[in-house]
Amino acid sequence: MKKLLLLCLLVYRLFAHPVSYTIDLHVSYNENEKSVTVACESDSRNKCGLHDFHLLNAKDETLTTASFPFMKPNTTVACSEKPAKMIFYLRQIPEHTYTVIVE
Amino acid sequence: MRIFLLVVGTHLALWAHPHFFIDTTLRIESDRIVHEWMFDTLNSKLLLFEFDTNHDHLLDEREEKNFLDAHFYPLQSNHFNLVLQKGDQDERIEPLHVKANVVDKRIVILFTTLFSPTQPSIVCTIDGTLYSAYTLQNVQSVFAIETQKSNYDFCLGVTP
Repeated sequence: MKKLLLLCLLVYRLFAHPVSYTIDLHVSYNENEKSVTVACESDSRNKCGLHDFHLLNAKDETLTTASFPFMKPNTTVACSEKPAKMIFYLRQIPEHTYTVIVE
Repeated sequence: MRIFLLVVGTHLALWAHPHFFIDTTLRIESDRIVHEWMFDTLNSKLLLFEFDTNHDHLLDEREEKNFLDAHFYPLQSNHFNLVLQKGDQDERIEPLHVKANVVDKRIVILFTTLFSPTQPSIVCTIDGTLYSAYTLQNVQSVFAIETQKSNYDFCLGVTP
């Protein structure tokens, strides 16, 4: 019976997934400074630091790529023109992306 | 019945993620960090069911090796769920003196990483693949630290 219970717990454990988090991204462009500020808010802000991001123009050409720093609420990078889009992606799993349309 | 459950369990394993809640203690010394990862009670029970093959509620040398080979060394592909940055540079992570034992029915992994923060540095324990949650329980440091933690991970800013 004890082994059966442990097996059931094992099956339950395989279903459950406790680790989830939110990511809220804000992108702004400073025309005077020719720079882009990316802010990342999360219930686990450390996760922001696991990401890199591409800034792209309207033709989907990459303008610049940078890493989001750990322990910071935002980062600023130089960018010669206003980007049309940002792709924010996990360094370890580049397929895991967030896309932000820059308005 | 037993075969049925094993078949169901195996089938589900193909679709689901394993996960662990890990209480973490750090000791930051001048040239190294000592890490202690204590698995939660439920997962410890399940892992001991699998790896404590002689059912003595301990991990002997062979059981310890089997456990670490299954649940610690594969983390190398994810830098052992650690980030060590000196300035802006990522440091190479190579755990030393890795041990696993059982304390109060919970599995504990102990290991050391070499790290000399000669400039402002970042130390994180974080699983980018989202399978494990690390909770910082205690930290001792010879340097000034700033802590940023959630229920899933934590980062320390270390200022020498």
